[in-house]
Amino acid sequence: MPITNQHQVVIDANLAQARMLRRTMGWINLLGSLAITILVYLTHDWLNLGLQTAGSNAALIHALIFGGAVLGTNFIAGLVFFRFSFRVNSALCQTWDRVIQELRQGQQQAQGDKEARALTVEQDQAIEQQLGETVAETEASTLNVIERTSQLNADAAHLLDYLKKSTGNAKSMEEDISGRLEDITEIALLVQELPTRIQADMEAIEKVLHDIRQLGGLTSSIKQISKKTRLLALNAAIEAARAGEAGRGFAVVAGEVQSLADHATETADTIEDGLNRALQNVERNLQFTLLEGSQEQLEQASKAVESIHRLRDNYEDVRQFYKVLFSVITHHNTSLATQISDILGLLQYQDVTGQRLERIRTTLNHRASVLINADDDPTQLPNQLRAVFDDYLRSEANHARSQTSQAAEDPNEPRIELF
Amino acid sequence: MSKTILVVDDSATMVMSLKASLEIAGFTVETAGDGVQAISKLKSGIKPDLILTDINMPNMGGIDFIRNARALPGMRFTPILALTTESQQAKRDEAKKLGATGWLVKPVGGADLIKVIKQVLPGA
Repeated sequence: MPITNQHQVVIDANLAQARMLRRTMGWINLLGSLAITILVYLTHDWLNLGLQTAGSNAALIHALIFGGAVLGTNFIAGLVFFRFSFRVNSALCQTWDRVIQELRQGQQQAQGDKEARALTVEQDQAIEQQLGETVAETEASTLNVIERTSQLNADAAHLLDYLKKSTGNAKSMEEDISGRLEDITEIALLVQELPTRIQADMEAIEKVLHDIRQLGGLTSSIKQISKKTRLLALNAAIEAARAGEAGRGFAVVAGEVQSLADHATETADTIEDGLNRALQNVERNLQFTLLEGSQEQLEQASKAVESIHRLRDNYEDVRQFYKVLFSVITHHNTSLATQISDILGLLQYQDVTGQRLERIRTTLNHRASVLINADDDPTQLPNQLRAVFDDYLRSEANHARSQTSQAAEDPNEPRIELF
Repeated sequence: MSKTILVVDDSATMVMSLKASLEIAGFTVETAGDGVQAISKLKSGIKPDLILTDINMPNMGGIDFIRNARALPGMRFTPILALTTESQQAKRDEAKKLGATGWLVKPVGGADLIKVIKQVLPGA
């Protein structure tokens, strides 16, 4: 039972005692007076009888009766007073015992409250410290993420730069290859024209061979001339012999002419043999070239032209492939840059959350201060705690909630406003 | 030549993330940890094309910074955007009265931020 109720019990008991005394006193006085009056009235004859038998004084008898009645009445009243006083004091003693017991309990409770407040302060400070460390850790982690994200972006930018440079180099190579391709195409055309040229060359050789064969006719003519010259020299030698001494000189000339005719015949034979051998060699080689070599070479030349055309087609394919590749990589790189930018925007949540945790830390500090100073006037503690929490709520209300919360955006306080 | 943006915020994460985000978009970024540092940079000759400032900062808050920055020569028409967690109308009105160009409540996505900057900084 609370101590205030004990106080009420004491008051109620005292009031009851006073009322009872007042009532009892009234009744006893009334009854006593009535009893004395009746006694005096009834004992009137007893006085005369007493006087007659005992010879006593009437005044003495009256005084004794009246005094006995008053004494009896007071005795009864005293008994009643004693009983009531005993009961009231007994109740008071019990009440005080309970009051003392409750005071002891109150002291223990107050001590418990004090220890609880100290513990709350200690816990608040520990939580506040943990919150501080959490903010610091998330900040460090966020900075790390920002650094890595920036590095990612830098790498993507380097990749793009490299690709741009590669495109420049590829363009230069393309021009170079285009030039080379023109050369190769010219060579291919040359190779393509090779059979025609070979054919022309062969016709020229045939013509030469024909001319050489013609030369064979010339050696026959020389031999014919030599034969006639020899006959002429023989006739000249006969005529010189017939002339005698006068024809001796002419005979020498005829001999020399015959010798020249013989030499011409030998030379013509030698030329004819040489021409025949050369003709046979050329014809044999030319026949081989025409029948075997040329055919194979023409096939190879045709294949070479085909390969060159295929090479050009392949080069076009590769060029197209790299063009598409560069376009795709550029597109993805742009998309990557956008994503990185959005990630960096999202990291602002760390600051928003950090500020909210800071407000909670401030509130915990404030509450700890209030709890520490509560021993001065504990009755003010509830109001002070309420004020601390109201401050926190007010501070929170002045800051926007994050967009991830379910709360709809306040149209009066837009997130982006240009003045 | 790329435009220069001065980022003023006491939070290292905000400064770093905004710097990286704006640099990706092709801006040159200068940074300051509070209003005092920012004013000092402006006085030292840095002429940003736009200023992005927090409101709650130690030493000198965003509201005082806007007031002091506007008083500097050549800074009368430079766009100043407030980027803050503060949402109360009274502070918005005060910033507007002092010459702020806009009010952005954190967090603002990268694309949204660039869009707003391009709105107030033509040719960026």
